[in-house]
Amino acid sequence: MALDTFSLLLLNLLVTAALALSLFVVAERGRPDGLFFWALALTCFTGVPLLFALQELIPGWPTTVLPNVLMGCAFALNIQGLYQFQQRPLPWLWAWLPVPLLLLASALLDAHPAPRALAVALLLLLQLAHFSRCFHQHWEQTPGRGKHLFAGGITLMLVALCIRAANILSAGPALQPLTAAGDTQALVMCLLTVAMVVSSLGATLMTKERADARNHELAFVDELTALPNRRAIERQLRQQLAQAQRQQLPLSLLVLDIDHFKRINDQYGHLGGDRVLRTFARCLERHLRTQDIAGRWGGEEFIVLLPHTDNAGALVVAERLRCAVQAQAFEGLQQQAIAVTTSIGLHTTTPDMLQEPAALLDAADRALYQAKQGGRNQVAHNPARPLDRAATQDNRSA
Amino acid sequence: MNLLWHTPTLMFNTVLVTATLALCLGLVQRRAAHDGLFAWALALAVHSCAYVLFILRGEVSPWLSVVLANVLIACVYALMLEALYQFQQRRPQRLWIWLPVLLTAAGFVVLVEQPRARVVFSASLLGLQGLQFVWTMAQRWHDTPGRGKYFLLLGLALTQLALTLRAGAIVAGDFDAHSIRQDHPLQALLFNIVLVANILTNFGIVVMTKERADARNQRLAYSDELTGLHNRRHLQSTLQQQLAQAQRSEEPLSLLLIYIDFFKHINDQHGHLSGDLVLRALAHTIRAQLREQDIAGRWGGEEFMLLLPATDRSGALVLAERLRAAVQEHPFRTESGVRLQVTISLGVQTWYTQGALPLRAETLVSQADQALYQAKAGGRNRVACATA
Repeated sequence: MALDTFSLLLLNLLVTAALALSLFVVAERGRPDGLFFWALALTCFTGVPLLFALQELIPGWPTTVLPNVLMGCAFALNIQGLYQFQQRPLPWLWAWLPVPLLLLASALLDAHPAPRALAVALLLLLQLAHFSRCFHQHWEQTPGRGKHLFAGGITLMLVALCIRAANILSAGPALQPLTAAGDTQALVMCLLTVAMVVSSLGATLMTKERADARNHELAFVDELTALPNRRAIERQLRQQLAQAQRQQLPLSLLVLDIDHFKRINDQYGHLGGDRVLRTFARCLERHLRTQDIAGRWGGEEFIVLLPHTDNAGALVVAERLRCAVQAQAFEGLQQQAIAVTTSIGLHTTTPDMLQEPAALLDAADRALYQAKQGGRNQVAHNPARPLDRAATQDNRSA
Repeated sequence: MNLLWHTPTLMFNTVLVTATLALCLGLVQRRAAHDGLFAWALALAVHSCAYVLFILRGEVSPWLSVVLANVLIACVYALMLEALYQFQQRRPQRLWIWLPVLLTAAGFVVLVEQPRARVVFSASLLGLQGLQFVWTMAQRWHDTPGRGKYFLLLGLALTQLALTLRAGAIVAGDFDAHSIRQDHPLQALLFNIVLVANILTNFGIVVMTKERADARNQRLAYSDELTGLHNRRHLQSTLQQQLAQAQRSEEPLSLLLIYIDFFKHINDQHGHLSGDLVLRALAHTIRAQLREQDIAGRWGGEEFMLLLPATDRSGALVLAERLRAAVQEHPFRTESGVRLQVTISLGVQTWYTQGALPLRAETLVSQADQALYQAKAGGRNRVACATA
């Protein structure tokens, strides 16, 4: 079945216009993530098939020179969008410099298709190289899978342009216009259409995936200490508990509380207190094993999950942490030394005793209370019986 | 226009673009996300298969190019509906979703030799499937954040328009339903509309899933998980905004710091779970006393912050005193149901913006903090105001 090149050209126009429209609607004001530039680039790409379609109606430079210039503009806008996405200053000069050169080359070499094609192809390749280099520089930092699509789409575009350039160079005087019937022309058209679809979908996904990754970090990381926050720890605890039960392994939980933190705050100010919290978090991280999970529960309270660790093992870890904190040099804002100790409550759950996360936390909490009662700076574990808090309250009110 | 559009090319292009979209979606979707993208990618793949069969009309048996192709088109809608149910996190009603597919199959087997009746039948069934989709979308319309849903609706409306046009033309007799590959302006229009609609709906579903994930994470990132109030991060950014706004509008801005007295005791005596209960109940009490424009958040630990825009010192003091009294009277309870007496200390600071120089957020907070310190030093369960 022979494909009609002119129909393909019009379809390319239609598809690109639909994509440009979609991107304009998706791009959000006040969110400089590159989408607006990419939508503008697609708009330029829409102009290219439009001008080619009008080649017979309007002969001369508008339909021979302008398409090349529009293509250059589209690549310049793609580069600008990428810089904006990567939050780097926009490279106005280097992105746009090839555009006047394209205009110049197309206008001067209007009568010589082969050198013109060569010049245009070289300039466009230069822009593509710029784009790829800057994409590559931030490749690792770009989360998600959208980047693969975007890169794939741009590569397809490159392939299509190379085929067309090779076609022009090899055809010599017998050169067929892009709209003439022919397998090569049809292939170029199809490749360009697919490239547009793939790259714009990739661009949209890329921005959305990054926004997602950022918000995820905000939602699950404690901003002061950079440890997992309470929400993240709650999630981890549920998962670890389920896993421990499935694998029939023990799970230990430590609740750590910085002793007399209130006094530290009062004496050294809140900023001094914040500094102590940060140092404390780093100290925990340094003295834990890879599989252990430390997080900030809130205020001056931290939680450590010890998967696959029985009571004896957890006691060793807890004691090591207590000593590490005692030995750690804490400093206030003016480098004054602050003595910091921690009380630790430990609770271990074994597969034969099914426990809810809340019950586990409560047990560790009671152990912490014992450690505090016992004079702080110590580890307490598995309280024999639940504290009769109601009784304590009654005694107090009596 | 008749000569411009070569119908086989159009159909080929539709297959190409639709298959590309299916492949892209298939690559980016994560099945564990259960957001419907997988089913949507499947729908697109089936759609391109149906078009391959349409292209082959006349060259293969009508059982394939007519019956199977139309059943596949019905499957596309069913899969899209499955995807929508999955996106909305509802249990898909399988019978309701797949019944039109069964009807299509039965109808086409009966009507395989009657092209006109066939077209009307399939257009009306597809119309019904479109309505099913819109109905399902409408049920969760307000819970779906973002702009993706409009794309979806627009794409669907375009497809339905094309189908209605085609069925109308065939019934009116100025269009032969048998030769789907003929060059006809209406045929061209139909394929073009389907192509654009596929692109739009595809963007729609992708944007919809991403926007929802975004909205969820945003809620997680800016609210305090325990109390549901704003968290410290949100308060900090809001405080900056409120300071700028107050200066522009030359209205005073008041800031209240609220501190639960002896919270440590509650935690130590009754356990952290009871402490959490007190924090939640306090957040509830605070919220009940606020006006629409007031902003309440948890500043950290047992400390809460209130921002009162366009409120002068006397207004802020009235609210602070009302809060203090409300907390004193509120029947707080521990986890085991024991009644707890909870009181709060409050520090108030008001920034009079008229003719003032810009103020740093930290300065305002630390002034309120000093007032709070006075309230605590003065015996707690009281309101103190920063000295101007």
